[in-house]
Formats: sequence, structure tokens, C-alpha cells
Amino acid sequence: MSGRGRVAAWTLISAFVLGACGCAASNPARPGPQPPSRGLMAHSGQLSRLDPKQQAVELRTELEELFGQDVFVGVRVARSRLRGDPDFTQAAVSALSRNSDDLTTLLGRVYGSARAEEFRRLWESQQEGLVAYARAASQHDQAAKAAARGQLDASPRRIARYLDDLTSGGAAAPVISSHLRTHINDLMHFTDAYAAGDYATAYRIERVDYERQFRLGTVIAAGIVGGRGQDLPADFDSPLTRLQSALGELLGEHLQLAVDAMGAALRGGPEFRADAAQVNADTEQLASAFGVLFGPQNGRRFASVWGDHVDALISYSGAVAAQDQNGKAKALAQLRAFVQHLSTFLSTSTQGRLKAPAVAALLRMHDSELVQQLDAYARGDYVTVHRVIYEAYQHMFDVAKILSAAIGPTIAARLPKGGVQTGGGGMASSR
Amino acid sequence: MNRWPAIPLAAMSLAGLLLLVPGCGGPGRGPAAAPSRGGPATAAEPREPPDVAGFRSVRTYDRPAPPVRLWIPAIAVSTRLVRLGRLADGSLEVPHDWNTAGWFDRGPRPGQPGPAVILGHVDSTAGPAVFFRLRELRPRDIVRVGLADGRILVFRVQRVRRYPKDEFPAKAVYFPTLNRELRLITCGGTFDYASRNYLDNIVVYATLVT
Repeated sequence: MSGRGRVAAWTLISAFVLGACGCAASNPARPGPQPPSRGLMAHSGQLSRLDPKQQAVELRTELEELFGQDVFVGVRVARSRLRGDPDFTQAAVSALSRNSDDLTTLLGRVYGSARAEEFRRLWESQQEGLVAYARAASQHDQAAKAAARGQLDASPRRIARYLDDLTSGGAAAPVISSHLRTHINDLMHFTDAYAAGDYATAYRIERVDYERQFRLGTVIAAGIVGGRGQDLPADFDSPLTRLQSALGELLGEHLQLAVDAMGAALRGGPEFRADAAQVNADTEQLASAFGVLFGPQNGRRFASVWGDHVDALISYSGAVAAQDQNGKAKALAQLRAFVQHLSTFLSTSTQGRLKAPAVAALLRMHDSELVQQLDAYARGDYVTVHRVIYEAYQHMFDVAKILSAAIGPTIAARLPKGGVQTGGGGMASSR
Repeated sequence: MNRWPAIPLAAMSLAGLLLLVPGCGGPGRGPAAAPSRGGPATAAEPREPPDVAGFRSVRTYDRPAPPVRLWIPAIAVSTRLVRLGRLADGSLEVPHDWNTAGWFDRGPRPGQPGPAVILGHVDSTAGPAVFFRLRELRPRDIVRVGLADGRILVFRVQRVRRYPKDEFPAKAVYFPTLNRELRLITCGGTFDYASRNYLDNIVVYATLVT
């Protein structure tokens, strides 16, 4: 990494850490207006237009993040509705609105707010259908389920047509429609499985759908940036962008799954085991990724340190449920140890490109957000729960950006060099 | 940014839908009661509370077994795979046997996140070699990789590219993007009889299907 690149990366880290501390300090539980989301939208100044060619990577990562987030928030609405937890549902629906608000704002920055408003109308109509389906399932009302299914039937086609038109054919309607139809079917299957107490199936579906919707963000971003049949900017799908995207997907998923497992641990919910199994699956994928990036031995080391992190979070939740002050203190001490171990690991693995104190600040913030949302949940402050989760999820994508900016050059320096000499006779010459 | 005032009718109807739900309170309520316990109201039978205290996170991960065979039906390739390392100049080692392909064992294994790399010769001093027809592959062709534990992974070809060796895009070919992919590499283009080397490389990009 060049000196200039290092400065740029650490300017980002500093800005992120400082910004996050500001967030944590101003932490009122406010049921009213939502704070602005960061990223492209936060810098928009409301009116400035976004140039997709110039900001292709940011557009891609933000669309991936938001479409992925929609799955977890939507599932949280359905699950709390089935659990009979109306206040939680209410706050989750606000988070769902915030997500579609952010998507609309992002599209509005490219195409103007007037054209983007149509997206909000179509998208929220689809969300309403899914909420109606969950409500019907909770009431064992087959007729209402069928009505919700009917309401949802035309949604993929409508949204796909709209996006195709918006992007002048860049986001092809058949592709988008197929994505969305499978998404709707998955969420209905999730609802049915959860209602039947088949949590293992429900959570498997949730993760598959998250991955699919995350990729829907990629497809739509490519449609916006490239248009029909045009070349994408080189950095849109560069190896580094793909690494950042993949890390963001896994870290964002970790955040969401950890939140759900902690909530289930606090409630003593029967779905805890299935929740925890999915957290483990995500941990395995993260460890596998680090094993590829830094070698199998480091992959195992990462898995061990990350496992400490997950264990501490679950222990903390159990201690809060049991009102065990010693247990809480012990779990928090474990989290502090995790921060030290992982920041050292990442700094060493990237040959100092990531500075341990700065990484530690990021990790502390991540832990603090997870603890904060759990504490808010325990006191029934669901507005704060959803606000903190919303922002904590977004922060994971900032972390992915910082990690990939440091990991990329570390890995690039170790790649094999040049082509290969795999011919001997000239028989294949210019065939 | 205060976004709530801008929420249009559609968003209001989403919230309104909730207000129709019996027992669904508005935002003006005080702190809610402790989180409800248990699963969905519709779950058929009472269940044991979960063993939260007994939970222990996973601390390992599944690493696919090493690849041992390669099949490419479209170009009639069936070969065992040998391990390959790197040469002193940083480039990849190539198989000693013209008719056997090899895999770069210091990169991702097939099935792991990232691009697994398999190399084979296009020809020998005596005739065609194992990857003689590699350049004939087309998008959607299938590539199968057999692992040491008996599993068979299926990849689908995405694209085939030819690069001059002196402009070989190492980053695009080798960088571990965390997508489960395969690269098949051989020689192509013009044969330089002076150096007895081809001037280009053919690279086939494939992604994991199952």
C-alpha cells in the first residue's frame, strides 16, 4: 500500500470512528423522526445528483446493503407478529419504512425524487402484502393468507417493469421479476415455517433470501451504472470491489444474526438453537474467507477469536435475562479481550496496514452497539433497538470497506506473478 | 435529515396496516413490558427453554478436500490433478507431465471462497497435450472437479479470455474475491520458435454451481 493510500485509508478510519462515537453519544430513544442514514445519502445535501459512473462502487455497495437489510427487517416484522409482540412489530415496521425511504432517496439521487417516489409506492405495497401475510398466518386465517398472496402476485412484475424503464433496460425486467418472485415466496415460506415452529428451516430460508436480495442490489446497480449493453466502469466489479462486497455481506449478516440470537437468548425463545446455528454458519464462512485470505492457520485463529466474540455476546444476553450482574461483567470483560485479540490479529495479518488501536475502536463500537440494542430490548425500548440495529448494520459495511482497503494490497503483493509456460511444441499456434 | 414528514401515503398505509392488528399499540405508549417469552403463538407444543448457558460458538470451518481429478466433457478432458507450487520468479509451476493437469496448492482449493487455479499444457514437443482444446470452451459449459474425499464439484464456464503473457492480469485471475470460482489456464496465441514459448495465455473463468 502506498503512503498516499495508507493516509486515505486511515483518514476513512478516523472519520468513521469519530462519527460513530458521535452516534453512540447521542443515543436518545426517540420514537419520532429517524436520523439520516450515512453513505451516499448522508452526503447528498438532499438535492445534489449522483453520477453513477463516478460513484459506481458506492452505489453498488449501498444498494446491496439496503436490499439485504430489507430481508432482515422484514423477517423481524413477520417473526414478532407471529410471536404476538405488537410493540416490537410496530418499531420493526418503522425500520422497514426507513429502509424503503433510504432506497427511494438513493434512487432519487440518480433519477430525481419524482421518479423515485414511484419505487417507494411499489416497494411498500409489496411490504404491506408480506406484513398482511404474516398477520394472516398469526391468526390461522387461510382466506386472508390467500388474499395476501393474491395482493403480492403482480408485485414482482410491476417493480421489475418500473426498474427496467427507470434504467432504460439496464436492469432487465425478467431478471428482476424472477429475483423478486423468489424473494416473496421465500418470505412466505419463512413465515409458514416459523409459524409451525420449524425454526431451522425458517432461518435457513432467511439466509438464502438475504444472499439473493444482496445480489439483487448488485444487479440493479449494474443496470443503473451500465445501462443496456454498455460497459461498466472498471472499478464497479474489480477484484477489490468484489472483496469489499463479500466482506460486507458476511459482516452485515453477522450483525443481524447476532442480534436475533441475542434476542432469542434474552427471551428464552425456542428458536434460539436455530438462530445460533445460523450465527455459527456465518462464523464458518467468515473464518473460511480469512483462511483463504491469510492461510488456513490464520483462518483457524480467526475462527477461535471470533468464536470468543460470539460466546461473549450470548453470555451477556443470558446474564441480562437472569439479571446476573457478575455474568454481565464477565461477558463484557470477554468482549474487551476479544477486541484486543482481533485487532492484533488483523494488524499483524495486514502487515501493519491496519493499525491495532484504530481497529480496536471499530470493534469496540460494534460490541457496544450489540450490547446497547440488547439492553434496550430488555427494557422494552424497541424504537432504540431498531435504530441501533439499523445503524450498526450500516457500520459493518464501513468496516468491510476499511478491511478490504488494507487486505487488498496485502494480498496483491503475494499473488503469483505473470503468465504460465504451458506449451511446448507450437501445434496450437494461432489456431 | 428529518425524513418522516416526507413519508408518503404508501408508507403511512404500511403503518396503518399495523394499527389494524389487534393489540398493536401506537408509538405514544410508554415503555413496553418485558419482552414476551416463547415462540410464535401458533407453535403447536410447548418447548423446553433453550440452553443458552450451554452455547459455544463454532471455532473451526470446513475446508474442502484437495482436488484430485478434472473432467471437462465438452472437450473430452479427463485427467488426474497434481499439486503445483511457485517458481523462483513468482510465476506458477507447471505440470511436468504434458497430459496431466495440476492445481496451485497455495491458493484456494476448488469449492473454497476465491479462485482455485488449475493449469495444463496445450501441447508438447510431440503433439497435443491435456488442455489442447481448452480455448474451445464456451459460456455455460460444465467443468467437474473430483475431490480426495469423493465429492464432485460442478462449475459452469462464464467466459474465456486470451491475454499476452507480458500483460497478464494477475489480479483479475488470482485475487481472492471470496466468490467460489475456478480458473483453467493454458497457453495460446502465437508460438515463438526462438524462445519455444507461446506468447499468450488462455484463461477460462468458471463459477461453482454445486
